[in-house]
Amino acid sequence: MFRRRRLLVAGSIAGLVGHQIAEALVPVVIGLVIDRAIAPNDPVALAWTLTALGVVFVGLLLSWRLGELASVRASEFAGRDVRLGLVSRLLSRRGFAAPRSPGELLSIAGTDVDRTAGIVWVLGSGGAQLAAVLTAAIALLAISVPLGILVLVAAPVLVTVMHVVTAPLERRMASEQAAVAAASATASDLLTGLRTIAGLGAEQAAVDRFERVNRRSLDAATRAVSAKAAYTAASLTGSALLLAAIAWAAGAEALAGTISIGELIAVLGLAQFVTWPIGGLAFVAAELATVRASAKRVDGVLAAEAAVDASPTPTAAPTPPATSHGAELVLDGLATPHLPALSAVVPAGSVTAIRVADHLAARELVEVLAGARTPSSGRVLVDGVPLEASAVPVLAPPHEATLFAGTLRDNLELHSTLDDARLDELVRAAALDDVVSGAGGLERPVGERGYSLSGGQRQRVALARALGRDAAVLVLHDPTSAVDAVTEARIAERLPAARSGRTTVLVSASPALERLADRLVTA
Amino acid sequence: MSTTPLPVAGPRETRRELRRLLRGRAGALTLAAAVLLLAALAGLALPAALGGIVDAVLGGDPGTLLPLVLVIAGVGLANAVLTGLGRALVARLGERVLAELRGLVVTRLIRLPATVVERAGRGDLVSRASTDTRIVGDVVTNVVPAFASAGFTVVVTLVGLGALDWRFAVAALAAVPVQLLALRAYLKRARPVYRAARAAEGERAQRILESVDAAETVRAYGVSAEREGVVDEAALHSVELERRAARVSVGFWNQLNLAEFLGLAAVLGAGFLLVGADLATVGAATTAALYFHALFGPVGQVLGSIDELQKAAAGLARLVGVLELPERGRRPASARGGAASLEFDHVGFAYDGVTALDGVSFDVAPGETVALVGASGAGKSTVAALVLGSLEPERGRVLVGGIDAGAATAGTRMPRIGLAGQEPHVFAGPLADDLRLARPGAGDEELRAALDVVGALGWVDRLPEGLGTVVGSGGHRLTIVESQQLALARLLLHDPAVLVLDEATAAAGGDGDHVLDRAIARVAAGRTTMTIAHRLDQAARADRVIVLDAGGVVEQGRHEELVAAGGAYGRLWAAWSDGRSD
Repeated sequence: MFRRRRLLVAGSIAGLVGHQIAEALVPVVIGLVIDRAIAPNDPVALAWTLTALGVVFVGLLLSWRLGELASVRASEFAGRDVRLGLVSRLLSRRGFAAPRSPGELLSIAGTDVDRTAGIVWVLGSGGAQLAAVLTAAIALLAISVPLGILVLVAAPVLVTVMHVVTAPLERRMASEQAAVAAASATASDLLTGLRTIAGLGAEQAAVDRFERVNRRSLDAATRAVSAKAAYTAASLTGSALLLAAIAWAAGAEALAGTISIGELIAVLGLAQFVTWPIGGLAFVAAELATVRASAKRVDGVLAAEAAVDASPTPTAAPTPPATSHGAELVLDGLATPHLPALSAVVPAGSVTAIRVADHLAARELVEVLAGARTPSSGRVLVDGVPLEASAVPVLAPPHEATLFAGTLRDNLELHSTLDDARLDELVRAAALDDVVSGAGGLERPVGERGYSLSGGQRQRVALARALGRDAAVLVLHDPTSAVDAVTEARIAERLPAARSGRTTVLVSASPALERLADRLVTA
Repeated sequence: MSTTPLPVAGPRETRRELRRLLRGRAGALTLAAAVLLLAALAGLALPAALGGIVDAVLGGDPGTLLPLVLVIAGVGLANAVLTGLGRALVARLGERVLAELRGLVVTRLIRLPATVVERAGRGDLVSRASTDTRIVGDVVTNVVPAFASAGFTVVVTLVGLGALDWRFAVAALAAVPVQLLALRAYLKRARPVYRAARAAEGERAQRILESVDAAETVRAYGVSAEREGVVDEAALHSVELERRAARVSVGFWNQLNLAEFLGLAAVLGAGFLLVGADLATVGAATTAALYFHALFGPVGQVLGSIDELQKAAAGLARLVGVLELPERGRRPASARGGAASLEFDHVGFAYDGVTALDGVSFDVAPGETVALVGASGAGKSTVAALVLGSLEPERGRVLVGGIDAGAATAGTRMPRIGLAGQEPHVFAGPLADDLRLARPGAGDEELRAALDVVGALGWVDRLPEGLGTVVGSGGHRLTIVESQQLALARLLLHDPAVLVLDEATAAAGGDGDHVLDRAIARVAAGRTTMTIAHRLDQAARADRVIVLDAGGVVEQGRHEELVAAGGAYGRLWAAWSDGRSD
């Protein structure tokens, strides 16, 4: 995912590494100021050592700017690429052999993609921390070989010990954070179902349920607090012991005269500093494991088994030519798990009702006609050509009327362009007058998933949207199930004119719609 | 209907509520502060001991080295343990306060009067309960403990610097003006950028969720590429805002770095002058410089947290605002089962001045089944809400079993009422827990019996984990028919004397209708039932049909009578049944 951004990633790592090196140099320069300027009381030395301090700070500032901005850019764009690939797979015609819950997919497209792209940060900050420890060790080696070796030996030991101590804590904290999040999730779920709760007079039961989750969440948070405290205490203890050891060794060397007082101060400052990157390094392994787990979940979706084989066959152009005419549809021994072999001929230009008793079978039939399901046996022919190879536009939207945030017009057009006269026709055909006559007319926003409309209104918008496509073959699955009797009668009256000359299939429609069909097939 | 958001508490109310929550916890608060103070004091001893080593070396005094090293190890350990303990105490206190507040807020939200809920919109309720509690919770868990411990460290270290020589402390203050300017600019610039970035992220998630939910529709219409474009537009916007936020944050930290440099140079300069004038030792100058260097982390922690703390304060104000709302009047206790009479006596009701019902009167005998018929907006759902008691009549009376809920005194036992709506919610969690909402403490056998009555036991048993299968948001997805069956099983467990079915089968379609019709007939047996019907065959089966139009009863009687009379119902029936073959 970073192939096209090697330079950016290199810049971000270089910036973060440079920043840590500058941080490590600050105590060294402090020692220099005290040794060269303060102890001998030399004003000239004060001027140049403070200038050196300024130079270190400029480096620190600029490298941070570079590292941070490059990392954000690299990880954000990488996240966008991965997310787009994921959405493209989710919406691909191939579908999924095993359906996944939307909650899971959203969490993968959100958190997991961010974590995967966050590899830039893990590598950048891990590399920077390593660089800081090495810089400190090299500075110490330059001052005194035994001191440098002390840090070079102690650092990996401390990192390993802290990793061993923190790994189980990390896991515990993660699982407990999940329990904490559960309280929010339960509250939001109960409040979404508030009407259902009121209908059962179950307010007290709902309050009790939330209080139980809330208590569990508090217990989990309390345990997480203890784990965190243990971690803080452990890491600070490790730092204190390392500091004491270095101070002892450096003090002894200074007393023996093998290092100067400025070098002693630099060593003490470095000892104070180096414990931070060592603490950070202890987390790198755990962070990498998190990234790997997230990347695996993303890959799981990208590589998931497809529901249908949508290989090279060209998909029909979304907007058919204006002269599109009806096509003949032949179902030849079509069978799916709930649909026993169905054979039927739908003549070109006819309105044909297919009555399917089992609602699961009806759903599967529509899925086959939509090209989203491979039948267990049998085939579908459009003007004599197998459906999957046909260039004739066949539109078979699912029964659930799914709308999108945006205006009524956006939903009717759904990424096509319709002129006002055509929109008027559609509004009339689907008896949408009551929806359009409200404030805003066609520019009225329908809200998230169209939820500001009633169930019946959403279904009528979906019907108008389907009619607007002018598909040569249109399959409608009980398109008026949520519409009241009067409005349904009006729709039934207007539908044939809206589809004249083209082929319309009504699957499991109501009697009022079946009445207008030229032919009735019973599965 | 215009929306009126739930209130947001003012700063004074928020502080008062916070004080009330902390009142019983003064001991824990004092203990936490004392431990963090001790931790900061122990931390202060570290640079002092390091400075002592410098003086020991300069004074050629090898005897003090080992004691100083032991002091470093000792105070280091004390600092480690006390810091961990202090942060834990603060965090635990915060978590308790948070849990109590969360409980109060969610309980109040669940018990809000229906009119307040409808006006505010459920989105606002959900965001108070989830987003706001999460924002406050994250800060309580992740920011407050570290902020408190860093705050103590900063104050104690500045005092220590002053104790060393007051002139060191004055020199250190050179950093303060830059820090204050940086903070002011940051708060001013960061807030809108962060808010926009979070909003863009929300929009992106929203568009992805919408596309995922609508994947079948998107595929059917062949508009995958266009939907990807819609998602990508939001994604690019989010990237742009994240980068802008990063620039603001980098600017802030750069300015803090500048302040660090100015302060450090000033402290070193002061050391140069003081040592030169023999007012301080080189060790003291070292200690002062190390003190200041050790402040970098805590100062950044304190200044960097202020933005988060302000965000949490805003969330807190929204939570406390909920507590200012009234609680719905508790309904009198209800008795399970049986059948009760229902009477509307000249009932009138208006939403925000728009009349929904006007002088509606009718009687339903115990055990009778009536169907309520009328076009959208005729007032059917208002009648249902009045029966349920979630709305109270503005004029007239609604009597259930002869009792007016509004005038009932404590100790009155009302007949139990139950309602199933058009889009039943499936509660997230094991299916058994969903059912137990209607009858807490019910055994598995009771649940299975109820599922069997509504014809759902077959598919429930085929679920991966039967009754234990996690359903609802994020779990196993149920079909519309299955969700409706679950809602009917809940009603059966609720066991009401009066049953209101508000278009309970409207969205199923096909033979799903027949499955549900059978289930409804079994649930309704022996109860008083009011069905709000879209499909007129439901009305035809009822004992009586009541036709509503424009907020009033226009016709009522048996189906056959009304059809024969050829009035409003007769015309509806003709339109609906014309061409029916079965």
